Amino acid sequence: MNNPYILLPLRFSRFPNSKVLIVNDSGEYLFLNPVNFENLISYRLDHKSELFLNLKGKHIVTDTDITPIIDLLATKYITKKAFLQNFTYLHMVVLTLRCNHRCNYCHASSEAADKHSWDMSQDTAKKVVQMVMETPSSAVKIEFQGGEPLLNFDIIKLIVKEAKKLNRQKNKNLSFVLCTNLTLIDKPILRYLKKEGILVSTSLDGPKEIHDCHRIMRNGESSYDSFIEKLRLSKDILDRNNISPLMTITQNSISHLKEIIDEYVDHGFQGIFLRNLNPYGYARTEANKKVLEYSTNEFIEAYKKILPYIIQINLSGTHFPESFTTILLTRILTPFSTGFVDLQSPTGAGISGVIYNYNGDVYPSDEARMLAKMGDQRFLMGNVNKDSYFTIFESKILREIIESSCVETIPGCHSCAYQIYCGADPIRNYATQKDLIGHRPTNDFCHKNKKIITFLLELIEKDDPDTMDVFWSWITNRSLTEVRGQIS
Amino acid sequence: MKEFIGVPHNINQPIMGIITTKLNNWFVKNSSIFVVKDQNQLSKKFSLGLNRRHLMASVVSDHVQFSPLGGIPCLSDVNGEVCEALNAGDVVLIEPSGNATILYLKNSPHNSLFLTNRCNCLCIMCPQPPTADPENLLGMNLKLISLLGKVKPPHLGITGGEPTLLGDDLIKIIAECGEKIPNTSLTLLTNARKLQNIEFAKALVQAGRCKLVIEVPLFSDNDTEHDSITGAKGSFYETLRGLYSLALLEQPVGLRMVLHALTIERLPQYTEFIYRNLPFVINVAFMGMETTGLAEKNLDLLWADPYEYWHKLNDAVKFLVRRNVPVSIYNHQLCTLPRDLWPFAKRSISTWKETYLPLCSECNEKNNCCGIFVTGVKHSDFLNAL
Repeated sequence: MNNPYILLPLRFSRFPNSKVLIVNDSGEYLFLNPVNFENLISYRLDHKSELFLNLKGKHIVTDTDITPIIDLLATKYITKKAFLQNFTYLHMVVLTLRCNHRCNYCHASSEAADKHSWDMSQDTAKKVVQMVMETPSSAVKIEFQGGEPLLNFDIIKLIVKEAKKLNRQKNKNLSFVLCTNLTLIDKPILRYLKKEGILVSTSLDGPKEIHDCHRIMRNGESSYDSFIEKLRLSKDILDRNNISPLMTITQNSISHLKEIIDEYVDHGFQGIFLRNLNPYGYARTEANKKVLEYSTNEFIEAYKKILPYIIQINLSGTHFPESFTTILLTRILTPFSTGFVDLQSPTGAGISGVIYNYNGDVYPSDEARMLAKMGDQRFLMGNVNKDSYFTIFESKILREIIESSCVETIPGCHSCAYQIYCGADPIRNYATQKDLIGHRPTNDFCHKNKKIITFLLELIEKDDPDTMDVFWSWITNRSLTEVRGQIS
Repeated sequence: MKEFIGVPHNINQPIMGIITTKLNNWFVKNSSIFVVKDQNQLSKKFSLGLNRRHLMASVVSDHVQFSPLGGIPCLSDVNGEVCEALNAGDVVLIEPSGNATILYLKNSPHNSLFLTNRCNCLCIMCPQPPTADPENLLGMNLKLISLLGKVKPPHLGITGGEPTLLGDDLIKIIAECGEKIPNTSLTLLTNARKLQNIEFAKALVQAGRCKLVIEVPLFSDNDTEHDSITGAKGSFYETLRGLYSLALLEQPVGLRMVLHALTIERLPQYTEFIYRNLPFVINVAFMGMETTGLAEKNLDLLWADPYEYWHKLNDAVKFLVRRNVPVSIYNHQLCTLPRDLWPFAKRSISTWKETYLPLCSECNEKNNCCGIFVTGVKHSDFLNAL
């Protein structure tokens, strides 16, 4: 057939406002009215028209050369997938399963503070460090997790020392993060963290009523009061930008996102990640489900309601990004890559992040470790005490996970307009749908991402200058003044 | 470049030298050209002591009564104002015909080497349409670089025509700059078509030793329009490939867009294209058109008044600023721009081409403004004193 132009690969989606969204493999998109869309795909578009040139400039059609366009698309696709160039970057180490809390949503499943058999031993810790430093990735982040890792502080010191020693030859960009509930922290520990350049990641669910609702201390005291006291102490010693909190949204807190955000702003935290509850660990038990769970739709509605409030905070002069939004906006609006272990294609489990359990067992993700804790060893890749780096990182399990998590080939994702913006989570699929690939039409994860991406695309289409300024200040991590070019 | 004339004496071949204004200031042996601005400068010392060992030539004002001394080349009867304007450190070329050219202005930030008059594009708005090169242009430029070694310019442009048409000689020139003026930052202006050859690009980048920035004109988000502006089919994709070669080599690259009736309409698509395809550029310059050469010839087709397109320019600048892509505005008078855009506007017009209208003398912003092209036949109808 002799067509007047060539159509390049594109995916499309019909929007409620009757417009048709088309997206190419590098994430460039355009909204068309249905008539133009029909004309485009039936080769009836006037190739002298402005619209044709717009499509040509986005490498969706061509009426002249095709080879150079394929080259450009290839370069852009590689840029979008740049997170794959480095192998495993994030190495999470579970130093102990013991914890002084017993939060009812804990997906990490804690043990009482006196059960030392759940601690990582010196020998295992040394093996873990050796394995971590074998990664080909030029950047390595070691994240101390638990339980409460400060209950096994000596092993933190051992790992930091050993890793830095090995790094004298490896010369990687090495960083450390301590995930702690802060309640056990004291001046000597803080001074040590400062000296070694270790960042602190902590947990704050919101104001006292919300925080203490699910974050329960084994000794019966208020977790919030202790947290606040120790946060103050931490800020005295550490750079406040080196302390960042995470939160988990529960049934009790989903209608109080505003108060939670105010709490974060009041403490001077630099942003928030609105995380919904994970379907793992304790959170999966029937009793806890009843007090914790909410539907995906409830989460989506709460997100849509709170985002304008967060934008308003930014417009009033406080730079305060929402992290999930920032990741998605970066994917939609920029040519750049954003690896995000929980939402990328192929998945980050194993190849971007990996977790070493207290006993040396290696899992592709914390969620996989939790499944094991609940009795399903499906994703155990090996153990540092008996397996080599290659046995673990070339394991059949890891290959299977990667093969099952390329949205380019997953049924349903393969033709989805949001493909390049989205990702897959095979372990979650396995946990919720008993299959690595899962079933898209009944998949909560897919539902949530689709709805939120749609919502963001609609906001972008509205093109409110203030909203867009805020979005770009999140994407480029600059102040509103800079984004607006108001150089004083 | 600024040119002047005089009456030649004893000039048998082109002479290139560095201007000196004081006789005790023969800072460059055998390369100095002494300017005689008034009679008092003609001391005994001058008439007695000088010969070719000290002075290469002299340039003498028409205010001065002068009879040329035996042997020393001289250009006499040169306009007095021209002589006044010559400064120590300027580099001048005097030809046997009596024509002289100022090749380097010490007090200007806009000095360039002109490597060739030839080009592999014929842009619809070219202010300086391609012509054949004079003989020994390469030799002249190498000589100029060696003289500049004594002047030590902070910055030097390298332009044409299309410099990459020189092939290996361009590499030689850049390498020579590295040798003779190692601390000078260089800006090469090229359409980058030839740089799709990665080996050539690599040689260029290596010769540039990190002192080189490459500025590339790009006029559209699609080949149809770009190629019709450059008059060269295939040039759009060749330029993009050249840009990708340079990005691969981590060579700093800037883009240049000339604003006129054919480019204004698609500025939004153009800026989006840059961000999506060329996010590595270190600067995007939006340039006002120099209305001479082919731009003058095609003025009816091309003319767009800056005062009337400032909204579109404003949107384009804001689009890139939001995305953290550095932007500059060249050749736009401040009175044609909203105040928001002033921080981006540069004094971009070369010193020897920069002029102001009589009404500009009333303007409070004159010193911050690029003025207008002395070469241009048309400028905005809305210029006014601020």
